[in-house]
Amino acid sequence: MTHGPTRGLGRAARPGTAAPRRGRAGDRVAGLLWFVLPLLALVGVWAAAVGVTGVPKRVFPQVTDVAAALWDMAVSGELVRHLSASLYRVLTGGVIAIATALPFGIALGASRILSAFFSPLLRFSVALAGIAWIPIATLWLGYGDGAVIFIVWNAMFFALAYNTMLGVRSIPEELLRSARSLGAGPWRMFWEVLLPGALPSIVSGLRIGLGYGWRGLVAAEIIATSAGLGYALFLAQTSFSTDVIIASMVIIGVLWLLMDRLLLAPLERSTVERWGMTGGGR
Amino acid sequence: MTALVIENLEKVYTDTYTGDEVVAIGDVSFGVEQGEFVSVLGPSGCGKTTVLNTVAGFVRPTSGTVSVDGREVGAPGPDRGVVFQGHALFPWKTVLGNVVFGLRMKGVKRREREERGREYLELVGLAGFENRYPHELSGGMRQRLGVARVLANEPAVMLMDEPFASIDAQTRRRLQEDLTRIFEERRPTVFFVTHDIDEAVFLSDRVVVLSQRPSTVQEIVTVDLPRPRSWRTAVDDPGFRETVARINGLLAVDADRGQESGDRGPGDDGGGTDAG
Repeated sequence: MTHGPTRGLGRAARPGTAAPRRGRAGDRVAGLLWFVLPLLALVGVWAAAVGVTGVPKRVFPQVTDVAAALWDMAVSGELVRHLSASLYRVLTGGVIAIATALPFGIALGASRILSAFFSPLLRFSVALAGIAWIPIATLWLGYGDGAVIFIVWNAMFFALAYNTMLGVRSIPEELLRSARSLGAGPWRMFWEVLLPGALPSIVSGLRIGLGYGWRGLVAAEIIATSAGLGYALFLAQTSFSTDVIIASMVIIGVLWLLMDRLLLAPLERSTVERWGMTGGGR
Repeated sequence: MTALVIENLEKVYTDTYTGDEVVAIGDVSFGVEQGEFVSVLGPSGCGKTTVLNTVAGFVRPTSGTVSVDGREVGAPGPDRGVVFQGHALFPWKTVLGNVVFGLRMKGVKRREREERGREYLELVGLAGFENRYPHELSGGMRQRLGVARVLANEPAVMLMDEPFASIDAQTRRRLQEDLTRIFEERRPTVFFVTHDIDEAVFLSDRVVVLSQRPSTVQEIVTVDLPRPRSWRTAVDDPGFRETVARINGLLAVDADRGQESGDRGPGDDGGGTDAG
């Protein structure tokens, strides 16, 4: 959702259609522009609003204050310390979530009995996923990386499993039949038919799940650790440093955008879009 | 040698809405010789696709047996490759990836399977498209790829479920000629389901005409049309026209009988169970 116009262009330029193809480089530049422009606009409105109203720094900082805070964090090494702690946790939790949720979701999608049994449990768990588990996670795993990784995993797992299940269910029956009558056994079926067939849905599950995981990360770090972007937020609050608070929030937001753009968008481009599986292009 | 034998096949469905039992296939028996092209023809909803799905192993018969090369078959398997109406290609695999899929499942070495894959792509006129994806092909090309994918696997019998039904008329004629040429060149055993009389006669050595539901074999018509066949010569051939007319007559009589017998239940003419 974050870059609708880019994807619109991508679809128009799909090979096999009569639409004129834009150059790849041109596409990239246009995409980047659409990505950066709204963010610049937001910064502009922010600077103007603070400038005009003249709110004191302890209520809301000016853009330059936040930039200075960012610079200080970078120079002092705090930025790298918090950033690396957070990235390590979100990636570890994310990898574990993918490794567990995909097989589970595919099993649910492939078996009516399993999905009938687990569907109510899954729906029940979605409401509780992530943040609500922080107290019990800290009881089990103590304060530190373990608890935070658990929260990230937990926040992502259910959305990812659920979307994977829907993805498997959306694979046309004819495809499953043709794979079976070409001699595919259960193992090949999983890797070569169910997994790629469910990928469009898995990618949206990843997008939703990573969003949940990211939020879970920040919340868990506020409570359960002494490093990380969430912790930096929390620490700044105790000293009324609104500039550091906003700086941390900016970092969190920008990191999420970068993850979406550098990990998910390329994944989507090289698979789902390449295969013509978007927008009913089959 | 008889490649495929269908004996006293019966299939009874329970209608999910009314709970009524619907006899889709009454009693169907026939065989397909090795290297023979046999079409199964019948009015829509007569259960011809159900016969194919039973042979493929997608549907379990209520009673009766299906044997391929003398062995009774159950689950789907590579000895019975299927070409579907909706082509059912893997969108995430390239043209070559699709055509060698079955060979990979069999564990054929990469070099050998790609060589064989290319050979079959050549056969169906898709050489040069190896690295394309299915969504980049036209409808006719996709169907030809579907045929190549099954043939590359060298099944005992190739099952084709109205493969050209959703393709425009001109392309369909060309695909029928392509299929005939491929058949004449390679002599696979083909079991072809269609509701198009011209198509059945043009392609087949024999045509199995099914009655309305509950389907039974009304008659098996042998087609005396010399090979190689083409539409140009077929349309003027008196034998072709006569066979088409004869099958037309068989189906018309059957349709009249169906109307006279009247109240055979609401689901009688629906195509619903046909796809099942």
